[in-house]
Amino acid sequence: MEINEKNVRKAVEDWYEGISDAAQEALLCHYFAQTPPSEIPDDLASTAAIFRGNAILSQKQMSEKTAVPHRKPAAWIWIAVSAAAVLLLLVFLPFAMRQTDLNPENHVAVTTEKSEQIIENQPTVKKSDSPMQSECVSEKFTAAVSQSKATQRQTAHTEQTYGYDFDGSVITDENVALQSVEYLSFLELLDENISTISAF
Amino acid sequence: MKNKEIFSKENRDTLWRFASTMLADEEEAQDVVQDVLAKAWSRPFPMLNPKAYLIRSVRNACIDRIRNRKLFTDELPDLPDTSSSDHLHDADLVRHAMKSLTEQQRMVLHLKDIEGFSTAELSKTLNIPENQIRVTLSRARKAMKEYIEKEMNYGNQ
Repeated sequence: MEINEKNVRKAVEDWYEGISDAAQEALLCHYFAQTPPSEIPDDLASTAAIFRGNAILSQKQMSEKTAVPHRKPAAWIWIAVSAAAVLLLLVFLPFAMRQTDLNPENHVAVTTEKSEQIIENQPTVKKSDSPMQSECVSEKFTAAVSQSKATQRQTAHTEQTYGYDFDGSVITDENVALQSVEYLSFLELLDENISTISAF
Repeated sequence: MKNKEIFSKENRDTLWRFASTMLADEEEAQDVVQDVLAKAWSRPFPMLNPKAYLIRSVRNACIDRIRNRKLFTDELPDLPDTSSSDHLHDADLVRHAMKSLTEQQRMVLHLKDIEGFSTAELSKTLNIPENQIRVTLSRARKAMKEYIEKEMNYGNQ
């Protein structure tokens, strides 16, 4: 509904009561903005001044000199942080690399060498020619096993690994290692005995 | 409104106009807006309703400054007379009339008539019931009309 001289006073009254809606208020703004002051009735002069004044004030803008700048971290902060990170890396990296025990390659080489020593240290059993010597062989076998066990126990205290198992895996269990060595010794002795028995 | 949009020029101008009306001092209004936006920028958590948050922050900051002023004087500072034409004269009349209103009337009138907030928006932003918004608005508009009529009649004499 358009605002004109006939209905403007009713619209203004509703506006002062605070019951006009947004559309009516917009029409009132338009009416007072378009109508020259000389054509506005005297009783509506103050209202017209209010609407015109509000329209001007709503267009005012803040000075750009005081605009809030976007905060960006200073460049020197980034440089300092990067330099500190590089410095920490250079200081602590050599310490980390010096811990050779933690190097898996060195660890395997040491345990391999030691397991070879253990096998070499096993007592050798000579082949016997007589059956009677089978008892001696068995006694010697027992002694060899005991000695191998003792040797293993000595080495086991100093090493965490015990060489390689038959499938190539690293032995970390002491009992498994002992069994492996005993079995190897037993196999050697068995070979000896079989050749002796077969000779009879 | 996304958080980044609250720092747009349009929003800054809205906050500045509001603070200018509340404080009747454009320079001080700039300080208030600067402080409020700086605090909003450094907030660690995103705002659920940034517009309402900023309006309330500016309102509270302005009220604090007005109370500090009242320790020394009960009056708002004089507004510079910028009238060089009838239209600017109207703007000056409105600004001077605003000074004669209470803080709540000034706040509601400015946000409603100058910034174009709806009654529902005002109620939600200022945490004031809609009925109270209407009553405050009505009283403010009538008081402003009365002030301007006095000024006009004084000018016509």
